[in-house]
Amino acid sequence: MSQKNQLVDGDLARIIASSMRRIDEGEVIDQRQLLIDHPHLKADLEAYFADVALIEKLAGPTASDLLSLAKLEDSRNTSSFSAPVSEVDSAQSFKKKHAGHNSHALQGRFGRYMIEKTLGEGAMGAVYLAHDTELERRVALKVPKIDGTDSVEMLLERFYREARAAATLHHRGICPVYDVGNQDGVSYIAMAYIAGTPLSSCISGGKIRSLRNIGVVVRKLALALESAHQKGVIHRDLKPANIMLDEDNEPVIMDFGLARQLDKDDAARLTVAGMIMGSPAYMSPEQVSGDIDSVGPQSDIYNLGVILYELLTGRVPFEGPAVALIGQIIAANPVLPSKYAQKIDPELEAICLKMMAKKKADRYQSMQAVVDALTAYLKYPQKLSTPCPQKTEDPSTKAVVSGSDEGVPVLRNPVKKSKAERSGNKPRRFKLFDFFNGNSSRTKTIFAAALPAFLLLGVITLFFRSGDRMVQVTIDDSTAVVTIDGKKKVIFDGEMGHVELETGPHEVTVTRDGAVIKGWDQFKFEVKKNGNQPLVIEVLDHAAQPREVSVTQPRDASAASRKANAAIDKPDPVLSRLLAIMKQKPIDVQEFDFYRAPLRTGAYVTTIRDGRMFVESDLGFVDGAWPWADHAGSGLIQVDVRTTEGSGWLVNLHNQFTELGFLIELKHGKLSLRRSLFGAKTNSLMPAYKLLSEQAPTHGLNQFDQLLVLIEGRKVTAFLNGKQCGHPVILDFDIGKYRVLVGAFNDSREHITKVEYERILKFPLIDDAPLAAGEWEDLISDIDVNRDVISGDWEKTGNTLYLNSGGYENILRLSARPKGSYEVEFAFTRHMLLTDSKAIALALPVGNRSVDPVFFGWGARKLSGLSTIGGLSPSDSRSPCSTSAFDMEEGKRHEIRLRVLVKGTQATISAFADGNPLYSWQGDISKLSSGFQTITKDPEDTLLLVSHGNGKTTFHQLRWRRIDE
Amino acid sequence: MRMQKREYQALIEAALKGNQDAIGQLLDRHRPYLKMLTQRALEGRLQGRIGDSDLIQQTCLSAFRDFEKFTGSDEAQFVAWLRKIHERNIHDTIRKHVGAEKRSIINERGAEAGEDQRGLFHLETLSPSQRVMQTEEAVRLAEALSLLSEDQCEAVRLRHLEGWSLAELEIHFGRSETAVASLIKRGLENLRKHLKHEE
Repeated sequence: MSQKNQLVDGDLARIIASSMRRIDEGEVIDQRQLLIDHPHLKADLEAYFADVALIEKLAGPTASDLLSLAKLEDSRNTSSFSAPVSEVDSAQSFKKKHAGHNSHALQGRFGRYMIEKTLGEGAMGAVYLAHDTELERRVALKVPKIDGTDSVEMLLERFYREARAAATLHHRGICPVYDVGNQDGVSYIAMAYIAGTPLSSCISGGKIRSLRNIGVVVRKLALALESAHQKGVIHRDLKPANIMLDEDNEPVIMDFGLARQLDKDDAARLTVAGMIMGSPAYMSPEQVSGDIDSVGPQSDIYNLGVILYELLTGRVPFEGPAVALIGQIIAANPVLPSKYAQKIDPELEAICLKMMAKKKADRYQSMQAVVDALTAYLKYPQKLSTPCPQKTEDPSTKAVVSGSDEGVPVLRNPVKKSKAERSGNKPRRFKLFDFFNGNSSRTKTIFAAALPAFLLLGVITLFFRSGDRMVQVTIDDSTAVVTIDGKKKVIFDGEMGHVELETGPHEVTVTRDGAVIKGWDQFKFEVKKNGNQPLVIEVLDHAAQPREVSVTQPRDASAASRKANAAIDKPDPVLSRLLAIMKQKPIDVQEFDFYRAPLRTGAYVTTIRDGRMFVESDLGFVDGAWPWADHAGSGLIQVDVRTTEGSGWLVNLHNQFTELGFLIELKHGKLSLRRSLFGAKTNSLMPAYKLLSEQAPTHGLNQFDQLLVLIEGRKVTAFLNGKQCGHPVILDFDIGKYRVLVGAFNDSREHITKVEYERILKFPLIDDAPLAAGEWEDLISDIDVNRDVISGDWEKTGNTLYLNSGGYENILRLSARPKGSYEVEFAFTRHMLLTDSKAIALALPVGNRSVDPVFFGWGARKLSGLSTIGGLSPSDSRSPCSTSAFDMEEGKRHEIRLRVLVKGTQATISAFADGNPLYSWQGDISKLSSGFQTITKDPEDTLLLVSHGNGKTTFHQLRWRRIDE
Repeated sequence: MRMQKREYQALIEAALKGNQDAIGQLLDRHRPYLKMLTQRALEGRLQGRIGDSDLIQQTCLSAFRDFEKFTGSDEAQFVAWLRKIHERNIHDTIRKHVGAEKRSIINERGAEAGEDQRGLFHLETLSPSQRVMQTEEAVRLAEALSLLSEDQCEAVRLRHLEGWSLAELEIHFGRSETAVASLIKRGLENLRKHLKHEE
C-alpha cells in the first residue's frame, strides 16, 4: 500500500518536473489536459497548481509581464485555478504514514523479509539481520531512527536520496545495497549481509600488525571510496565500526552515504548538549563545525586518515568528551603517530598526517591521490625493513632535518611539504597588525601573564634537543607561539621548528592565542658546552612552575650562530621599565607584517626572507624611506635592523605637521644617531640631521641594532641599543596620527647599502599605562529585573544574568553611573540563537554625552568582532572598527572589556576581547553620535546593556570600575 | 506568525508615537523581506563576500535611528521606506566591494554590479521571469517563506521569484529534476499552509 503511495509520489514529481521543463522551454501548459491525462493525480495536481497560483499572486507580476502586457495571458493561465480544491491535511497524513518509524523494534515478517535478529542499534537507526524470502538470501536491513530533533520529512528525504545514491555503487569494497523501500510506514534499506569482523574490533584486538598490511587495507578502502567519489557519492561517516573485514579478510565499507549530515544547529547541539551524535572522533574539522557545504570527498579522506592513524597507533588522534574533541579536531595538531609507535615509517606517517590536515587544501586533493601515495609507499618495501637507526633510539628525532645550516633559523617539516609550498616562509599563526590600514586583524599580546590560557586544547609538548649545533623545538599545538630570549620567534612550519642558540642561558616564552601560557613565560634553560643529552620537556600542566633544564650545545658554536644571536638579547633597561608597566595589563604589541612592504620603491629593492625584510639601496646618495605603517598616539616603536653592507638605515615619523627623522649611520665601525625635524613634509637631506650621539653603543656590521622611539604626547625620545641618545625633542603638537617610514641609507656612489629589518613593533597605549583604577563593582547584583529591564526577557539567578529571548533589541539598564574615565567588563556566552542578529552592545556614557552603542558580534553564525562605535559602521572608512579582530563563537565564553578615557573634550575608547585588544578610538566626544539613553529617556550617564536577537545569552559577569586620571 | 493588519497598524502607530519597542518589532517583522531583497540583489555577485545578515542588521539600525524621518502612516509606506533604505545600503555595500575588489569582481562577473545608481530592482535590471515584488504581499510571502525549511525555501524562491529554470535548479541543488520538482512541490504546499494559518 505505502509502496504504491511512493510510486504515486514519484509520478507526481515527475509530472511536475516535466511541466516545469516545458514552461522553461516557453510552452504554455494546459493544466486541464494534464489533469485529464493523470486522473489518479487529479487532486494532487490541482493542489499544486493552486499553490503556484498563490505564490505568483503574492510575488506580483514578473518583469516581463510589466514590460509587455501582451504576456498577460500567460499569467491568467497559470492563475486560472482558484483556491485549492483538495484540502487534504498532508502533514497529518504524513505523520501517520511514517508513524512506524518511531523506534520500536521490528520483529517477524516485514514485507518480503523475515527479521531474524537485531544486529545493532546506533544513532542512525537499527540494523536487523533478515532473510529475503523472495531471493532466498540473507540481508541486513537498516531502518532509520527518527527522533524529535529532525523533521521527518527532511530525514526521509535524505535517507532515500542517499540510499539511492549508494545503490548505484558497485565495488568489491562497498557493501551492495539491494533495495530501498517503505514497508508499513517504515522506511528501510536492504543491503548485503557481510559476515565478518568490524575493523573496530581488529584495531582493539591489534590484529593488523604489519605496517604493510595497514597500508594495504587503507589503500583498498581508498580504492573503494574513490570509486564512490567518482559517482559523486560521499560516505560522510567513515569509521572502523562501519568497515567490515569479510570472510576473505577484505575490507568492505558499510552504510555508504547514510550518515546524517551535521548542520550548524546539530553542531551547536553537539557542543552544548554533548553526545547526540555519538563520538565525533572520526569527523573532520568541516564536519564538526557544521560547515555542511564544504563536506565533500575530502572529508572522507580525513576520516580515512583518522582510521589510518588509529591503525598505526591503536588510538584515535583526539580523545575526550565531545566538546573538547571538537575543539581539538578544529584546532589542535595530532600527536605524531611515530611518537606512539617507533617503527612507523615516515612515509606512512606523512600520508596519514596529510590526509588529516585541518584544511581541505592541505589534504590530498582526491581519494585517487591517496591511493597513489599508498601505492608508492607499498612499492618500496626496502624502506619498511630498514628504519633509520636514529629512529630506533628515539622515535621523535626522526623528524629532525639534518644538514640544515647557514646560520639562520632553519625550519623544516618533513611531513607536510605542501604546507611550506603553500605558505612560503610566512610565519604561521601570527596575524599581524596591518599598519597600512590601521586595522588590527589580530594583535598579539606578549608579556602579559595575567590572561587565562585556553585549556581546551590540552597538552603542549616541547622538545629541546641538541643536534649538531641545532636545538629543535617541537610543539604539538599549532596555536602556540614559541619565542626564545624574547626576540627570536621560533617559526613553525608544520610541527617542527629549529632555532640556533648560543652557549649560555636562554629563556623561552610560549604564547597561545596571544596570551602567555601561564607558568611558562619564564621558562629558562641553559645551553651547555659538550654533553649530548637530548632533552625532552613535556608541559602537561599549564600551571606548573617554570623549571630549569639544560640543553647541550655544540662544542664549537659557529660564527654564524653567534652572529644570529648576538645583538639585542640583553633586556634594554628602558624597554624593561616600559614592559614592567605594560605587564600589569594586556598590551597589544603590533608587529608590522613585512609581507606588506612594497617590493620596489624608488631606489630601493625589498625582499622578504625568513620573516625578515631585506632592503637594498641603489648606488648614489639616497636617504629616502617610504610611507609605511600608520600609527596614532603615544607609544613605543621598536625597530631592529642589521646593516650588512654600506652606510646605515633610517626611520622617519611623518605626521600632518612634521617629519621627524632618525638616521642611523654606521661609519668606521661606529654607529651614530642623528635626528632631524622638518616642517611639513620637506624631504630630508643629510646635513639637516642633528647629531644626537656620535658613539651610540654599536653592534657593528652584521649585528642587529635596535632603535627605540618613545612617544609621549609631544615628547619624543630616541634610544639606540638601549642607550638614550640626546635629549628628547618636543614637538609643537601632540603627535596624533603618523606614519612610520623606514629604509636604507646610502651616501656613496661606490657601494650599495644592504640592511635587514628584523622587526618593527609598536607598543601602544603607553600613555595610559599607569592607570589608577578603582575597585571593580559588580553590576549584576544590583539589577532588579522588574525595574531595570527596558525590553527583552531578562532573568537573574544568583549572580548570573540570562537573556532568554526577546525581540530586536533587548535593553537592560545597569546601575553604574560612570563619569569621566572608567572600564566595563562583561563575560558572556551566546547560546543557540534563533535569528541572525546577534550583536551585543553597550551604550556608553562618554563625557557629558550618551554614546551610540559599541557593538560586538555582528552578523551571521560566525560572530565577528567589534562592529560599530559612535555610529560608524565597520564599512565606514573613518571607522576604527575591525570585524575580524576576534571571533565570537556560540557556546563559548567570551570576555569583553571596554575602557573609556575622557580628557576634556577628547575621549579614547578601547575595547578588548578575550584579553586581546580590538581597537582604540580616539577623538572629539562631539563626533560620537548619541545613543540609546536618549531613546530610553534615561539620564546621559546611564550605562545600558543591549543584546540583539532572539536567542539565549548568559552573562556570567558584568562589572565596572572607575579610572582616576 | 504574521500579525493581523489591525495589530500591525497599531504597532505602526505606537512606533510613530516614539515607542522604541514597537519600532524594533516592526523591523523584526520585516527581516525576512529584507533578507529576500538582499538575496536577490546579491545573487551570484557578491554573495558569500557580503553577509546578508550584516546588511539587514545595518538597515535595521539605520531605520531604527532614522525612524523619525519616516513620514508615512501605514504598512505599504513603511515597507517602501524600509526598502529604500535597504536598497541604498545594498548599493553602498556593493559599490564599496566593487571598488575594493574591482579586479576580482570584473573577472568573475563583469563590472555591472553596483553600477546602476537608480533603484536596485528596476524592471530593466530584472530578468524577464523575475518577479517584481513591490508590495506588502511580498512582505507576507517573504515571511511565510522564511518558515520553510532551508532548501524548500531556496527552491521555491529561486523558481517562483527569481525565475530559475529547472535545469539551473538541478545544478544548483545537485539533485535530479524530479527531486527538485518534489522539493518545490512540498515547499509550495507548506507555504500555502503557513499563509492560510495566518489568515
